[in-house]
Amino acid sequence: MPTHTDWAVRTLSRLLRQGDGAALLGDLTEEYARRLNRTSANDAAQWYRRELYWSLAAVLRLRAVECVRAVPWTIAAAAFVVVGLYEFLAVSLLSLTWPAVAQWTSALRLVVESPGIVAIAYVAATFRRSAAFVLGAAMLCVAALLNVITTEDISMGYVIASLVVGPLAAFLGGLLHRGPKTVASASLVLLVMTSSAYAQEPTPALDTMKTIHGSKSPYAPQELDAFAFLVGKWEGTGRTRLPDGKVVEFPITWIGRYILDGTAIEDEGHGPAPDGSRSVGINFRQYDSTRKVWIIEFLYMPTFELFRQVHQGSGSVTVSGRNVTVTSDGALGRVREHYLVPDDDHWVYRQEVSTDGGRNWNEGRTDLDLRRSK
Amino acid sequence: MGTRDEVLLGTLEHIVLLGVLRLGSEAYGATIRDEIEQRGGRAMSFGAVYVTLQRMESKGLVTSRLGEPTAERGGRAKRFFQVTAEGRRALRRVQDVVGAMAEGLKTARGTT
Repeated sequence: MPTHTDWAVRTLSRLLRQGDGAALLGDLTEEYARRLNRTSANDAAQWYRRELYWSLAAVLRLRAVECVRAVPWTIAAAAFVVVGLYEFLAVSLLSLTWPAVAQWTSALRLVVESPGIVAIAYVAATFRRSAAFVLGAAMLCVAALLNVITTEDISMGYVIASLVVGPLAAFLGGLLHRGPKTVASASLVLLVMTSSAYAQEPTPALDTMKTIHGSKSPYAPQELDAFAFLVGKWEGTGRTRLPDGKVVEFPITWIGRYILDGTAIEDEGHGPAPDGSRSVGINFRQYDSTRKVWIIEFLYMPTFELFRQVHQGSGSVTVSGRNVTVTSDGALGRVREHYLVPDDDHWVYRQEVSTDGGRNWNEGRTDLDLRRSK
Repeated sequence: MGTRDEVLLGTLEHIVLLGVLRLGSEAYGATIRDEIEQRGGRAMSFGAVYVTLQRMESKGLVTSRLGEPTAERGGRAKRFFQVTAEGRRALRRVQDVVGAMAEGLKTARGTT
């Protein structure tokens, strides 16, 4: 008999009904024996191999077609649509009751929703058992596709949860029709995978007001101490004069911290804009001791405008005792910002603008009075 | 007129069923395949023949029995197939439908 055909014989026997595999191989052997008498051994062996592999290919193709035809596509598709609607509904409800979880890219959302997916899959499986598994497979494929094409910043926890929790919940729904042991095993797997996904999920709600203030690096230049009074959390009130001359008062919170391993200071003001919307401005302050220049930049978050206030050849920082004045040139004209520091727990900010190169100053454009937050 | 409950035959099933019917008591994988190849001029693999027969058996169109194992077959038995009454009815229905649909077509084609 031709050699190196064992794997094909075994595969064929498994794919065919019990007894059919042996009958088919018997037919092949019978014809092979006849051909041995009529042709050379090589030709007969070649014929045997060709027929065996051709039969294997035909059986595989026909079995695949049977499998595809047996799939309850309609029920699975309907269940998939229901899962989609359920997820929209769940996110809407969660946004009212648990906003931190009501994010499309939250692993915890998937975990919270999983019992509903189990229920949907269970109902689908009452029509056709395999519908739940097709639903799970479809969810897995869609999740994998979305993870690949998404441009959003997604956590590893979400990636795991989307690939595991949803599909596994659908499988579990199908398994509920089986014995309690199967259900218990599947539930355990779901629980383990869920915990794994949740463990990798970052804290869902980030409080940007919470911060560690850090400490100054011993290698940072001494000049940086001029702005050390900003480090900490500060609460107070602000006043600004609008273009129409009207003065508006508003509450303000200021947070300052050391960054870049304690070699620079980043401080930010949180407060409402004149129109009532939330406004944040971020300052970066660093002293370049090599070039002996300050680098001060201000990023106004509502419009993402970056103002390069002080750098080599532009702007200046003047220190007088504990008070500091930053002078810069911008679109408004020349701006002078005075930081007055009466004591460790209190500082005042005053902004002046000159539109004639510094001959006359428009005082009181923006004033802030801040005290250390307890 | 046929009903939706009637068993419908695919082309492959139709051909294999006719092969089994023609061979009578000698219908098994190898002879069915040879019959189709010689009469129909259509080459089929043993695998395709067996999968088709298995499917038709599950539909009740054919029955099968195992023969005695023989040495020339490597100690393996033949599986003989026989067309059932349901299989014959299915064949008649297909012939009737094909005949009715084809009726007159040859004349029409000849005149055009």
